[in-house]
Amino acid sequence: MNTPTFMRASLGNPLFVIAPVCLLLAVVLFSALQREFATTANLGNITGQVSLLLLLSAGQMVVMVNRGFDISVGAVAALSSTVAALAVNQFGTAGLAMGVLAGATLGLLNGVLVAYLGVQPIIATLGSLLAARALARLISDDGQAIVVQGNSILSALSESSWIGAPPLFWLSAGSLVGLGLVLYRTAMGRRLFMCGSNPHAAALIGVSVARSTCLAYLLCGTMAGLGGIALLSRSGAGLPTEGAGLELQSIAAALIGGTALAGGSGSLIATAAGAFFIQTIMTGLNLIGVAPFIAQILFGMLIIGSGFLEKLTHRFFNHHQGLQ
Amino acid sequence: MTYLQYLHSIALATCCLLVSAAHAQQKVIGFAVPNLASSFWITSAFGVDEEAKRLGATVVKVNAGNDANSAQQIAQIQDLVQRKVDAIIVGATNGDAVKAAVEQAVKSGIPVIGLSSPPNSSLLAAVVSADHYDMGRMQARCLAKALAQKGSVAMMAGPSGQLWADQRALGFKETLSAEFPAMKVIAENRLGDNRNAALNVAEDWLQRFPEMTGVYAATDDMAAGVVSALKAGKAQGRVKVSASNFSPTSQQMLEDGDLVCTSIQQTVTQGRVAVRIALDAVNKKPIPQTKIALPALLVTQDNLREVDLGSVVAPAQYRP
Repeated sequence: MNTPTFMRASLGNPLFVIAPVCLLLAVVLFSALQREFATTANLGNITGQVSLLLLLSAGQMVVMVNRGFDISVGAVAALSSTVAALAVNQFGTAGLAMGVLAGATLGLLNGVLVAYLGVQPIIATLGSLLAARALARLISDDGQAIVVQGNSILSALSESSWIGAPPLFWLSAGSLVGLGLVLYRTAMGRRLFMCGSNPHAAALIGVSVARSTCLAYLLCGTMAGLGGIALLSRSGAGLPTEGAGLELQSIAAALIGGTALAGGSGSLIATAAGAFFIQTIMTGLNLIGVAPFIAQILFGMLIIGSGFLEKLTHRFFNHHQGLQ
Repeated sequence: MTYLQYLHSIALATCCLLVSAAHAQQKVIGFAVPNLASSFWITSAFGVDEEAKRLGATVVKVNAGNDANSAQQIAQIQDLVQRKVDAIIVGATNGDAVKAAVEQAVKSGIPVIGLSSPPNSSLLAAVVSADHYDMGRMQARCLAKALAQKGSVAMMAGPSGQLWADQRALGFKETLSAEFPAMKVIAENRLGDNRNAALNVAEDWLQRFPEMTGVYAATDDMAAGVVSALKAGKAQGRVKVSASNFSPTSQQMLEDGDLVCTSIQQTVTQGRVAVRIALDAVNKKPIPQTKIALPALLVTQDNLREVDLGSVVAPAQYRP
């Protein structure tokens, strides 16, 4: 029983279909329940809201492919929004690059800790989570928001609209395409999947597993840095204390997107669909106006449900593959 | 037959009119709350709910979950705009961070009212809050009375960069220096901003300042930490503690005589007033006063039973 080649190319793995299907179902459901949901205005709304999570979950997916976790992404995004805000106030729009650089630096730090010093991912990234939070408070007068004064480019990124979505969304989507090119079109990227799938075998054929792991965290940190720019653009301020809970949302998005916890397999498109699914649920529940605690319970149940679904599908397909 | 048909159509038309009138009356108010796990916001949500019910409006509440969830609150305010609510009441996670989202809402024609921690925008229809300065002043007067207008006082001043904490501390200090010159402030701490942290700071104070006779606490939670430290350090009775805010914790401490007083804000009333102004703004009525600071109340062991708590606390069975 062979999957046709074109399907393998487009879907790769049956698990990658779950997120797009869930997203579609959520859209249909909310459109039926609330007439303000299926509007172009709300499309612009959701695409703007999802930009941050999109960037973070894409980065998270890369480290998960590499059998890791990065729980520092929220704190790193907060730090990089703070750095970027300070730099923009000093040097103008070009200062945004400093924010991305801050993210990349922390990503590199995580990478070195995990890949070369052998620290467990959860320990390493917990350490940098705390360090990033403290650093952000340190440079911001104990956690005060850093307001960016009169930068019209930054606010236009999230307030104007290009083809139905704020420019910020297109920039995020563009970053994902860039990340996709690195992952799927370069030898470096392919090695990353290889090391996640079977580090021992990869090492045997001469691939540097440590370098791949380090690269994964560097990419994740860079995406978190870009996330900080999204945060800054949407709030108009650097937010040093922001972002608790974002790491879990990004992990959830990657999981719903079919990223294997065991490493070696992940799809950027499916992960993006996972992020969209989470944002759609949150926005949809807000539009319906259910009591806030009910919304949180529902959200928790959805995460558990998706984990369960992943397990079931995994078992089902493994079973079928075993029959081949 | 025609007559009947005529009657019928009149009845139908009246019916339609009534229904549409009722429909038009049913205004929807969005309420963006930073954290519905905190007793303060639960209490103001109660005020908002009750007043909306009384005036026939619907409330849609969204909860950011935490003061450090500004991105969440921005998205939630945008969702309320999408939902085309008639007005939005905002208790900001961070006044600067949600400014842009709030101003987008105002520009799309939705009046926004700031509640207690307002968005940092000049486009708000009104801001409703407590008179925090007055709360600090009340603490100064009651602590002075308990200490016979002399002695050394330490201040558990609350988190830095929070307007309410700054205002309360300022009210306390200025009143002491103006009205009770024989009392002096020996320490001011801004890190002990929860129960456990306040406990640790107060223990250090007991070691360092044997002359300390009074403690100002910016909240009742911090006061609870201070009281624990005093009990452990056998300094209870020798050192008097005053606080702000009202909760079952401070109620118990007042009954036990651990606190000399607590100055409290009318949290339920704040929610009620915000709803009234929101509906006035929706109906294009003039809003005579756009900065409303509701006066504080002082609760001591003596008047604990008499104070009307209806304006202060939500009933225990209320769920937001």
